[in-house]
Amino acid sequence: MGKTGGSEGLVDTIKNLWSKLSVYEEVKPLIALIGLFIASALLSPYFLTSYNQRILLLQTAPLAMLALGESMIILMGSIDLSPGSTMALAGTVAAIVHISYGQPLSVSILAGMATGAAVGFINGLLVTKAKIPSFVATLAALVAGRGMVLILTGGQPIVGLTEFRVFTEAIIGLPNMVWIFIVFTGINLLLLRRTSLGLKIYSIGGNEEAARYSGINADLVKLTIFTLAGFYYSIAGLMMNARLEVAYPWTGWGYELDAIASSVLGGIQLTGGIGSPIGPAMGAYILTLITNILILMGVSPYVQWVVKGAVLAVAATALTRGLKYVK
Amino acid sequence: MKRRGYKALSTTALIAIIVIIAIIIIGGVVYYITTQQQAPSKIKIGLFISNLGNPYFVALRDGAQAAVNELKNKGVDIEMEDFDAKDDPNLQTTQIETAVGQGFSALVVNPVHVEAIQPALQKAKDAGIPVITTDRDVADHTLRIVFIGTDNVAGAEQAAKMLIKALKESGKPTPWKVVILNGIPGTTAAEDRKKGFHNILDQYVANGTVTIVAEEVANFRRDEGLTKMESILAAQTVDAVIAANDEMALGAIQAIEGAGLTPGKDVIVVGYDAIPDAVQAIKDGKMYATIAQSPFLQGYWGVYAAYYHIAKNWSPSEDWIPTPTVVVTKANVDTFEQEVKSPKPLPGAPSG
Repeated sequence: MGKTGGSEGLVDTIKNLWSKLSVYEEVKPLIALIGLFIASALLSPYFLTSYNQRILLLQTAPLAMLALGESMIILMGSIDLSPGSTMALAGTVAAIVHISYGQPLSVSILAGMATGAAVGFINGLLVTKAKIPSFVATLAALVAGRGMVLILTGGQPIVGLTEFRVFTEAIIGLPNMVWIFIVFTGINLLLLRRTSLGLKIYSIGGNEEAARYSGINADLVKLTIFTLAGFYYSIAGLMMNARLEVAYPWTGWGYELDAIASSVLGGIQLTGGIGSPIGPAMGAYILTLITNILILMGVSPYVQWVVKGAVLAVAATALTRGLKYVK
Repeated sequence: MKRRGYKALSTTALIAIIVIIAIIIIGGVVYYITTQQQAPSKIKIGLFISNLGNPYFVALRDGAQAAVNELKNKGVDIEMEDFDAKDDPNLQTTQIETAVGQGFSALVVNPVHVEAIQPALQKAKDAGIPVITTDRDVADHTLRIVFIGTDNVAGAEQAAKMLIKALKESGKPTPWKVVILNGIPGTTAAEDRKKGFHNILDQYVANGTVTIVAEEVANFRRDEGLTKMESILAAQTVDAVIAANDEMALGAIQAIEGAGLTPGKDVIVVGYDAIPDAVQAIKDGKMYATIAQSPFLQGYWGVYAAYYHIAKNWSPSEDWIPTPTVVVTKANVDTFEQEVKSPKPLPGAPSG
């Protein structure tokens, strides 16, 4: 009798703990991350090496920047298909300013960031002023942005970006670009949880009509966030310049889907309004980790895609449990 | 007054209309006669290029132009017009359809897509205009008389042989640990090159001198070559990498350097395509070898095949005339471009 009572007590404690923890939206992706991390460590002896952990963070950094930007847009109930092209365009412009016009690194980085923000601003205008649905507006940016990259580069990589190594050099044991994405994850947390802009983003995503009736200037919020997201993407583009030491015209081709997948894995609902600000960074890490462990285990490349798809479907199912319905 | 004004105006208009019609009729007759006189002797070749923004296809155009100039010097009445489809199958279709109506004697086509332009080529076939495909073929082989393009299997075999040669020279202990980076699955270039690599490497795997420690798909991309190679290096020591194009090979070099190893010394890298970055990497000693194709000869032979077919009623005995590939290493890195740009006679050409 007492024995069963004890185990019931344990179950109750766990249930209690879970109900307390599950208030935090970060918990589910964090559990997925920790679970996958432990599983990977058990599956491959090479997973925990410092080299592998370092490249995991390096590979996560650009994707995390895309996911952090993308997630803010998804939280408003919109979608952005332009991250891949925007990062490539920003990287290309930075490289051209640096190599062709001989400007110092700082100027070229600012030019790249301005380019990303400009693309985001145009996306925002298309959505708010031209009233084009974000899926279509940013699809246009995806196509036109890549076209501009190809025109600017002539399809050939721009070489000689050795000065971009400042991004890959290490401070306190981690490459700078890893610190950058950690800092931006913190900025997202503050922006979305501690500012009125963050509150407006969630309320637009929750119910845009209601948000507009309550006096929120939703168009201004959208314009701001699209611009900010474009700026985030540009940093990813600069990171890729540093990683390859060339501005590669096909950088980020297809990354918009990885950015959306990272957001979903991080617990952001595609319907908008629900999700943790830092979840997307975890999602980006999870996605990178899956690719990494499959290569470490020597799984056939064709099987890798199936496994990735299955993990995404399973994770998304787990994350949406408890919701009444999804759109 | 008013009425007379109208009448005067209508008379002027009438005269103007008659004059215009007369000019059109006379002009049309003159044009018809002149074009009819030219038609029998003049050979007019249309060259349809997928994308002239790519230096590879500029070399193809240069080769075709060189052949036309050579034939002109021999007294052949030949001219060529080139069209750039900018990688757009619709534009190429329009260009070919228009050319069919313009009375070209032969079309040398570098298709944008294996299937998309087939309806246009069908129109050329119906009009009795011979078509030769270069660099890329079309799916329906009856639409062209011959295909002139790279033998990617043979090129990849050359690359794999260079890899083995480099490994032997390096004195590394066997079994040599080799990584293969493949291109976009399903594309002809990726599948042919993968086959060529295995044709050579599998023999060495069988006798135990080579172990393939990883074979990944990096989709012909530099960024994927980098991330895939980084992860491979986390689990394996690698002696050599062979990639189905230079972009992936250069990404692998970036990963090798990132892991604190020296490309060319610790890890031997062999690529494919001889793009400018790869040529530089060979000069720097980071890449051991790459494979150069011969777009110049593809254009050059394309024009000759068209000319022989029209003027000498020649038909090629083979369905496909393979163009040679050239191995580029430090030894010929400065001279290989001359090598691939020198004209060679078309195999199986009629004498005279």
